[in-house]
Amino acid sequence: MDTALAIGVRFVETLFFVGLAGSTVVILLSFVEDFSQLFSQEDEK
Amino acid sequence: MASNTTNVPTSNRVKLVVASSVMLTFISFWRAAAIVLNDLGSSAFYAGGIAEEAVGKAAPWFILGVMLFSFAVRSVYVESCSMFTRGGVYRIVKEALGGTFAKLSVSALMFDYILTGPISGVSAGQYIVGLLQELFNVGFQYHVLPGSHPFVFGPHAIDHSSAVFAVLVTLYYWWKNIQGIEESSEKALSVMKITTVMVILLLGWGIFSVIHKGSPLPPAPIPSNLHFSPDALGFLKHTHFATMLGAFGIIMAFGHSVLAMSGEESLAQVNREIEHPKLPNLKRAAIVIAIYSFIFTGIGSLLAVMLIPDAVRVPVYRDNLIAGMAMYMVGPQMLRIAFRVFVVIVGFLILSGAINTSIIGSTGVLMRVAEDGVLADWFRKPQRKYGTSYRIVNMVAGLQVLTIILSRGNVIALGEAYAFGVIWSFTFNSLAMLVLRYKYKGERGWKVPVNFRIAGVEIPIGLFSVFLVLLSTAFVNLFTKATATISGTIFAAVFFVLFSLSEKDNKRRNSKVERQMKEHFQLEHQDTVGREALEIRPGCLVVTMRDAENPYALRWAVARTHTDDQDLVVLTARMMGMGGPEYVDPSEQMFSEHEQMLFTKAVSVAESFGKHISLLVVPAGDVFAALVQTANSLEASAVVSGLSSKMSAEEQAFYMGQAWENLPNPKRQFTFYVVKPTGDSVGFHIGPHAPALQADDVQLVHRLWLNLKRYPEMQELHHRDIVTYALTRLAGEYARDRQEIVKELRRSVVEPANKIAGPSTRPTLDRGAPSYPIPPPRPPSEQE
Repeated sequence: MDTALAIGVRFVETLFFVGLAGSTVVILLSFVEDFSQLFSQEDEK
Repeated sequence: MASNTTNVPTSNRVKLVVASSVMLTFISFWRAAAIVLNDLGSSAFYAGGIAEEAVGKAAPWFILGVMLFSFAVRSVYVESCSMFTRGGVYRIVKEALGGTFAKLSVSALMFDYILTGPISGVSAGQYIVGLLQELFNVGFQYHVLPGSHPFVFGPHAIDHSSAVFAVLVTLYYWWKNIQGIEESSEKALSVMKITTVMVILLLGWGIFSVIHKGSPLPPAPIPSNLHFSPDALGFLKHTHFATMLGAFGIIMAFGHSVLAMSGEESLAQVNREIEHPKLPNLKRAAIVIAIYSFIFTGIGSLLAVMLIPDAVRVPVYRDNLIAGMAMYMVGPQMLRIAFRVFVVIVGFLILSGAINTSIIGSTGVLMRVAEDGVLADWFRKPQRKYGTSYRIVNMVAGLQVLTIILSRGNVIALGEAYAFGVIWSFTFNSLAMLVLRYKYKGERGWKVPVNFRIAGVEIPIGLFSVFLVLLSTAFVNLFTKATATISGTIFAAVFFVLFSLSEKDNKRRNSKVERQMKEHFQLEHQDTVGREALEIRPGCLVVTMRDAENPYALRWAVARTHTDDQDLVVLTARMMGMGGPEYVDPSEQMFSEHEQMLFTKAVSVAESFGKHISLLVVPAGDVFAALVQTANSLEASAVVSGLSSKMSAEEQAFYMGQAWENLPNPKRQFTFYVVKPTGDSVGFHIGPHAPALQADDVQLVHRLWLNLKRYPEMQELHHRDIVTYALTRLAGEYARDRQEIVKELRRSVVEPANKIAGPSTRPTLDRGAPSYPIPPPRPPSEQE
């Protein structure tokens, strides 16, 4: 039971931290893109 | 998009055209951001306290982390909004994951929306009661009030008073929604302006105070610094595992802080109304929202822990953390109290606004699922007097009041449950978006970065990463938020059963209604409204109809129209609440029994007068926008409407005029008639028109003309030249000194006693003028 719980916990931790690493890239890229959009005069093509 | 004719016309059936494009009024990205921030920003008032109660002093780091992560969640919402779907969370999730998941997803969203009201109301109550306590103490301290110092409310007294306050505000907004108030972007913008003043003062003064006091940063967000309360351990409370959480504790702490980004989902709700160019403006609104909430909620929570001493932060200020910050700034006590009063006023505005937003949002979602046939038709019946979906509003407000009573004003319990709805609705949405990357092949304006292609198959790394964080947090929350898991599961189960039973019942009823509709009407679906579809001539009369039992406006119009010379179109606006789609697929437009009755009644009224009518149904986000857009598209000469139950004829005309001003060119003027139940009517010109000059005004122009004509160089002068000159001169003077002109105009219009018609200001002509006096000019108010 404890082993199953430990495996489950490690699995969830892995999902979370891998997701967090990927989300950091999303945050950086989308922030740069949208922040420049905020001050851009260029509109939808 | 091609139009889709459903039925073959037959001679004895009345033509009923159903438009697919929703008629809307559009707002700037600033206004859209203000509406979302009214919801998202309100969580700054309670998220910090709730998170610290659960995880300890390191909580602000997790709030900051959640606010940073909200930038990624925002990207998912931008992608979902950039897809040309039929709209609504139910539709998006159903398309991706099927009906069962869609119903669960809507249930989670409803749980989130329903709880926004109670938590906001109770939190506002906590701020007000906390302020009262402070003011009593100051009164005792300075002997303004008789009694002893310090004065402290009991913990239950604060919670219960806050609950009573929340119930009262909820009931107020319930009544306003029954009457059908709209969520005004103007009001949202005003609230955000005053909130911004508070945020600047809070952060500026807070940072100064922190530096002045040399306050240390909160402990780092590492497992050893996490101190979970017994309630925050949830189902793990009595297990061996609770003593050795490690990195798992980080996820738990993140999950307890996730409600800080509640309100992000409102972005999808306002998307439809954002003005062109849609996607760039949506992204602008999204980035403004993310930066603002990061600074307000994230930095604000950090400063709160740094400023307020440990001894009082959780015990005294947990439920009114920003008020606590105000009291521990550097400066004189009176200034700090004055700032606290300001914080409470702003808190009241934004939090009570969030209650209204939650009622509107919940109603919008339920109306949308009702239109999709997933909520019983019974809920769609409009209120007889106000025309609102009162049964849905009653249900939403009833659930909110019940939640407040069950929570007894406990913000922590409400916050726990709220986080459940927030995380699961985000998780379902991101899962749906992930699946739609493979299933949806239509137009998509933007994608969450980063995306790779392997053997022609797209791998959405970024979107998948966001989904993983949301899913793992939602999963962990299931175990650590016992109350939320139980209450959320019961709520979702009840709604799921309600949706499933409704869907089954609706399918049976709708097939009957649809068959009857086809028997009686020649149904035709069109993307947009046009004269060609209705086969009418220019200059038609458009009559609105809402109440099948009392169609007095239609009777008035039919009696006065010779349909051989002028076509008569009966218009029914199908209101698409907040969060609804921009386009409604013809196959998804189901007619309710109420609508069927409405159309049947319209035809019978017209037949009783021996007249012919055309029927038109337009989906609309705003009824006035729908009316002016339809009138313009049909080149109507007049629009006839019944008197509103909630506004005067003049107010109706004002909103029509406002909607007309927002119409793009080319646009044409028309007359708007408001018919009272007595049969009396009032007419208004919509759009620019020649003012209705009184005989006296015409006389004045004529006498001026006679005077001026005496000069040899004025032989070519016309009456219109005099009016043109007078107006040009007024415009010039207005450009030079606006204030003075406004003052004079106000004197003549508003203050009858000072009208320029007074003897001292009466214009005089030279003695050589004709021998009859010129009457005084009349103020414009009397001319109209």
